[in-house]
Amino acid sequence: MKALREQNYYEMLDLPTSASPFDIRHAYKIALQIYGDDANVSYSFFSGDERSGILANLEKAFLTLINDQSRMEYDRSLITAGLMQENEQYRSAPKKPIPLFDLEETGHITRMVFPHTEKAIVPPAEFPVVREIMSKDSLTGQDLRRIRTELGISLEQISEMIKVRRGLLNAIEEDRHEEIPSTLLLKSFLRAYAEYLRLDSDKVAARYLKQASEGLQRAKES
Amino acid sequence: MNGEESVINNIWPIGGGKGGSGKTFLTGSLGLLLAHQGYRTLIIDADLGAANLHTVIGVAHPGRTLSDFINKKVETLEDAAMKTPVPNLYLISGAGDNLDMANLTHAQKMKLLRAISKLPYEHILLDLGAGTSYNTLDFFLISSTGVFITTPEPTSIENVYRLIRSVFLRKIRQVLREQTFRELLQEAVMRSNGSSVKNPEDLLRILKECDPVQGGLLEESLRTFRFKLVLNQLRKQDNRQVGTLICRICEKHLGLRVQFLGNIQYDDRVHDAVCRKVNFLEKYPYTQTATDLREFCHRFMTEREEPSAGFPLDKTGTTTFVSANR
Repeated sequence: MKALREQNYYEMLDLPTSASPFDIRHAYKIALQIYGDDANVSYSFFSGDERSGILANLEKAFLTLINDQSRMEYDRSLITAGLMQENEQYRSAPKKPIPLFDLEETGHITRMVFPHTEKAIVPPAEFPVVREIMSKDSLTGQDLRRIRTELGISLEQISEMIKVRRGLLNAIEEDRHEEIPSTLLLKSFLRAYAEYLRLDSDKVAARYLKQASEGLQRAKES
Repeated sequence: MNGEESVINNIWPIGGGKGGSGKTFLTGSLGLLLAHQGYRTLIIDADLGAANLHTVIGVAHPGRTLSDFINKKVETLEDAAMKTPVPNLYLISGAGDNLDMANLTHAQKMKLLRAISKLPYEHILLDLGAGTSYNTLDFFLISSTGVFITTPEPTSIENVYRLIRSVFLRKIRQVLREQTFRELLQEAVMRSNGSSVKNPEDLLRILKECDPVQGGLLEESLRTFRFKLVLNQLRKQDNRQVGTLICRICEKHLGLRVQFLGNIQYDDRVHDAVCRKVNFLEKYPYTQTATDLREFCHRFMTEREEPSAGFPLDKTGTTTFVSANR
């Protein structure tokens, strides 16, 4: 029996080191069922302090493992400490079937609340680049791409989460609007995209569409 | 009892901490099911001072009781057992005890525990009382295969954790000598800056640090436990995973392997059967609850030797069998 604070993030969540993001989300959900503040299952088993300590640890574990960048760094530290083998790492396949139904609604970590690690997720407005771009009154695809890379989110990741093909997202980021079947779809893709990045989705959609229609106007005139 | 014959019996203490969680009902039903399968089964009402196991199996006025043995009216505990209307099912009732029955002396308790482990039955089910008194804990620790029972309500879960921890602590106490135990407690209090120690798992950890040999031995003996858990009175809207998750917490935080044996559906007709003083399984055999009970019994019989998933089993660990006269 190992005390929780001595366990590494994978052990805390009962995961193999090769777990996929999907598994990680699932494991975290189960952990919340066990340790959550209103979980009956562990009622009275832990004192208030113990429980919030455990929850803070679990949140840190989850947030570290769910982000590709920080997970890679964490894995590296485990490998140097000899706690993990190089070949036990998770390898993300660039293209894999997207789960059709996310019945458990584990999809959007952006909609989950992390009361114990508020500071761990930096709101996008804290990034100077993002602030600068968002202060403009029109947005180009290039701007969106800059925000996304600044926040360290890959196109694959966002595409899997908001269930929009990578090709279409690429087209949006490269201002090839004619590839999106309709303006309505374009608008809803933009909103989902912005929501995932924790930006103001109304503003992003409006500014991008404004820029897009101006571009269209210019193309017609010339 | 024949002195030449060596008897192997399985003892299953059934305890749950909270009153009203269904210990007596489960003991009665499980006893009945085992007897139906042809096992010579004895159910003992060890809820000293608040006995009513006889009622759920439909015996209104037990002739002989446990107190006859304690008061030496009968020679052996075997003589205190009585037949029930169900073939193969025997009962040692606690009905009509002396009113001070709940306060057994240590010598009486030890005598009773020894006598129980020598009884010539294939299965012995012990219906324990609520709470975490030494009597209850010692009866629970008579074998390493106790069954915990809880309902999905927080009150019941709270008490079952309390019982599990008390059993854990009682075991530590049994294994260590009095002197060592007191030293360990002092050390633990010192480490937690003078506040009292609430969790037995901390004691075990401290012992392992101070005295690895003794700590290892203790951990080993805790690992021999094959406790079970059953979730009773599950309503349709309840989470079916609760039992599995409780077992997971015990394994992760107490290092105790507890095997989940299934849910038993809540049914108003249980109340009905108890009020009519008849056995539920005979009156309502085609209900979900009855099916759950039969499934529970089946799992109980088939999976009792199942190797653990999380902990390596040691070969001497099966203390399920208590052999007498050897």
